[in-house]
Amino acid sequence: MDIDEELLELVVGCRAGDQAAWTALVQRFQRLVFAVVCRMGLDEHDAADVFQTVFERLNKHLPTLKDPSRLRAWVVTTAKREALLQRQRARRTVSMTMADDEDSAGTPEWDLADDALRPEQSLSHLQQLDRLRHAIDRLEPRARSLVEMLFCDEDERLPYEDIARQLGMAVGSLGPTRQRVLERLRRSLAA
Amino acid sequence: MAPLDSPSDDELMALGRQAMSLPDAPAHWVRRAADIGVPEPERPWKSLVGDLAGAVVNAVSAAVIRQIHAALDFDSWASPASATGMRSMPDRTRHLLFSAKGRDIDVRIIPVAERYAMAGQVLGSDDFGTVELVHRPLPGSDDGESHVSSLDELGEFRFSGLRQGTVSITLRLGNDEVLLPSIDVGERRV
Repeated sequence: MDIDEELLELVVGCRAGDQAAWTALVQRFQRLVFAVVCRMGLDEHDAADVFQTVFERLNKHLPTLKDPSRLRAWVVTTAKREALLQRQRARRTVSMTMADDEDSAGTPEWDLADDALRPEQSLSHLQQLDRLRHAIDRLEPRARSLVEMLFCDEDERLPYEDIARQLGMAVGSLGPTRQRVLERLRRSLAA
Repeated sequence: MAPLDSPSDDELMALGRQAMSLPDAPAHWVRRAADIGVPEPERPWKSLVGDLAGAVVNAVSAAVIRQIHAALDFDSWASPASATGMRSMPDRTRHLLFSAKGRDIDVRIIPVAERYAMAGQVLGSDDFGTVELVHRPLPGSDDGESHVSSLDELGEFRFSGLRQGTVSITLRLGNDEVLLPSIDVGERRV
């Protein structure tokens, strides 16, 4: 079952009143919504409100949803929009610059400068990361362990011999296995 | 970083490292969202009654069109670029948010070569609707060029190939006619 089929199954389950499907759908999108909300510079209280609002909207949106393959984009758009609105509301009530702070010299409090990505790029990049993370989570345990060992930073990466020993595999089979796993993850991004 | 369609092994591993480091939302946030519960399943009798009631209401109110003027809630060009806190380079995409009696309308104007594309999304309870865009090369002129588009199932709409000028947008959603304030299309004026 590919990722979109799984999403479709969850949507169908939710529509049929299956609470487990709704919980799984929340689990499926929680990381993505959290990542979007965190990038918008909200405080914890506002971020929690936006997080909840996004899932309330998703809940209302599901009965009329026709194309689950676009659900991820809808979630991201809604999270971004709700976060912007929350930020607007906060700006009406609280000074969002530190101009009043003697030490700040007027530095904007929102100057997050996360990674200099333009917002749209950043959000589609997030969607890609979320898709990839989900694909990694769905790998069978040994393949996932291999990914975790291979994907860690270079200075922390174990030699092939140690990885093979820990996974109970022959050193010679690590290369082909790695290639198969990477191909599977690559396909998940293209899906 | 733009999304990669066919990353090399090294790029994929770099993406994988980033993906593995995406944090989970706090557990109590997730629990609270799960507690919202499943959307109420549609029951046949309820659907039938709803359809009949809807038909009666539609018949009675078909001739009554409610006109709503949307309010501008956010304009990315109205904020100093640094205050958005989201980029260090100037962004040529303009982002506007409007609200209109329970609906929110998200509009983005994106420069494409010498022209502009406008993409939007209506967030509300409407399943269907149309969007009429009237483009005027000069503000206030009468000779506008009209384009009509339908909302897709996510409430999204798109117009492309727009020239610099002013656009008026009217959304027809059920018996509501939502009018957006005029929007200037063009380069940012500092």
